[in-house]
Amino acid sequence: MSRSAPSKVLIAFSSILLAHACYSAHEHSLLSTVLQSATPSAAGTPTTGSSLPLDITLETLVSVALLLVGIVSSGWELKPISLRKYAGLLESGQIVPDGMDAKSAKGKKKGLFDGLEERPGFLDIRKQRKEFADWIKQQDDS
Amino acid sequence: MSLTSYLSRFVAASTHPSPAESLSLSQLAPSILNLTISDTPEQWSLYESLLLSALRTGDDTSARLVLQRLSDRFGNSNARIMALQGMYDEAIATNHAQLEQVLKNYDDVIKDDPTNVPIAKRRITLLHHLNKKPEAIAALTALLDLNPTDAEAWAQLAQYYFEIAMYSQAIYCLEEVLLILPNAYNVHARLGEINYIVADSGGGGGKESILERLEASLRWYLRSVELCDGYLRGYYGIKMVTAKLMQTKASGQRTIAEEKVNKLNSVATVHLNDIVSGHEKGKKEFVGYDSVEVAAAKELLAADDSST
Amino acid sequence: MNAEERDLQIHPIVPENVVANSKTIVDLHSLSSSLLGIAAGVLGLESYSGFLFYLLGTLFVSFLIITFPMGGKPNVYVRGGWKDVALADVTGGVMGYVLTWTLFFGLVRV
Repeated sequence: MSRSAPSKVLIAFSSILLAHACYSAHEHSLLSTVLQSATPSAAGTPTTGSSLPLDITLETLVSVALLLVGIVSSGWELKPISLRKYAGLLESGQIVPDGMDAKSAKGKKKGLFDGLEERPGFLDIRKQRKEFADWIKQQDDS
Repeated sequence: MSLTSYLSRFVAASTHPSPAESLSLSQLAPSILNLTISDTPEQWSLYESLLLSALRTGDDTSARLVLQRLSDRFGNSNARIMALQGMYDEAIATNHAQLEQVLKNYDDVIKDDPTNVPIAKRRITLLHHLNKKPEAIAALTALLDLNPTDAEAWAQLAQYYFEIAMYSQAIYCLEEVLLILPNAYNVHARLGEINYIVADSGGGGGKESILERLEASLRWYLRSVELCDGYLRGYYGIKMVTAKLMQTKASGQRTIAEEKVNKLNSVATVHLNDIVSGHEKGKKEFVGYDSVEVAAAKELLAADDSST
Repeated sequence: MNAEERDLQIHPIVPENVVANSKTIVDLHSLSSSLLGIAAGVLGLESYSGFLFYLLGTLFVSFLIITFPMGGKPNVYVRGGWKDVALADVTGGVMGYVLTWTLFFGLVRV
């Protein structure tokens, strides 16, 4: 999975934002407990969780939303499930099969059933050796 | 470079690389052999590929070393190692007598253990190489009797039959492959090609007429593009066969209506044009196609233009 | 042979890709449900509103998955279309959600 640069920035930024929202919420609840114990008249009414100020609520929601956008958009690769489409992408070299990196796959397409035509078990090594020797000779001559 | 990036280069190369490619791969030998042996599956499959490319380019010292390390790890009695050892022996044999000796070794192994498939395949290949084609075919049919779900062997048998122009047998074998792997679109295209060749050479003397062969060929090609979107070889075939069908004024029962054939021809032309022009302009969707195949498609299109 | 089987024979699918895709989607959902849990904890949501938040959050994530990696075409990547994306691992995600929810609820409110 290759992360794209904008997603990375988004993830970093929104993580900081979320951490800040977290800290603010913590401070806020700390402050309200301190205030509560200072004013005994209000001690009878318990604090409710939803008493968070609007700016912290918004900060939390926005940071999580951005974080999710950043994570989901950071280059997760899905492969088409239909054979027709998947095979087509492989044949036209738009996706690289497993075990190959993009650099070495360049200019070499790999089909799904190439093994049936290459048939490695029946490799005629002497023929290939001869072809190579002929090619070398040709290179030397020219 | 790391192990995986080396492996990636070998995986990307086909079993039949061009000489220049073989050379560049086998030049990696010293640096791969200097990597520490990590005893991972990747390492050993890299060694296996390296052995083949070293043998191809005649780098027998590296080949010897790689083979030594492989057999130290897996033992000499491992079927796959035996096949690699056999391949090494085949490659370094200098005269006919030595090859016969290798063949005799294979015979002995098969006699001891008839289920040794890698060696059986080596033996068949060597028989074929020594121009003993009937023996090779007989041995391959025997192997298939033993192991009828080996798609690779069926495909090889089809190739042997094809070489000696026994086309209906070749077609039968490829249909067997499709029973095992019904989605193999390249085998569909191959069946299209063989049927086309039979039609081109005058019907092959079988019961079917040329027209029937051409229509069969068209059907195989159509299925191949149905299984694989934008399959260059399939569209090439469709264009070729439909052009032929449009020319043939032969009487006989047409099962595919003429207008349908015309339509298929123009659809294939559009697709081929897209691929060829996209490839030339270097569009992302088309750059991965094989340049040789694209050139062939271009030629076909040009020939079509000049004839109309 | 019923119609669906017939259709599968004519237009085959690649089982490895189906498995790989659903794994990616489940991964994304479980990762994001933990993050949603953090938000719920910080916001101090309780009982039903917390679970409602989870459902809304999961819907949002499903929308993002369909938009970004799938390019708006869920049918290409999962067999059941958008429903499979939204309903993938809802129950499994709840575990991670509740875990971080309670953790952050406790952390923020001393």
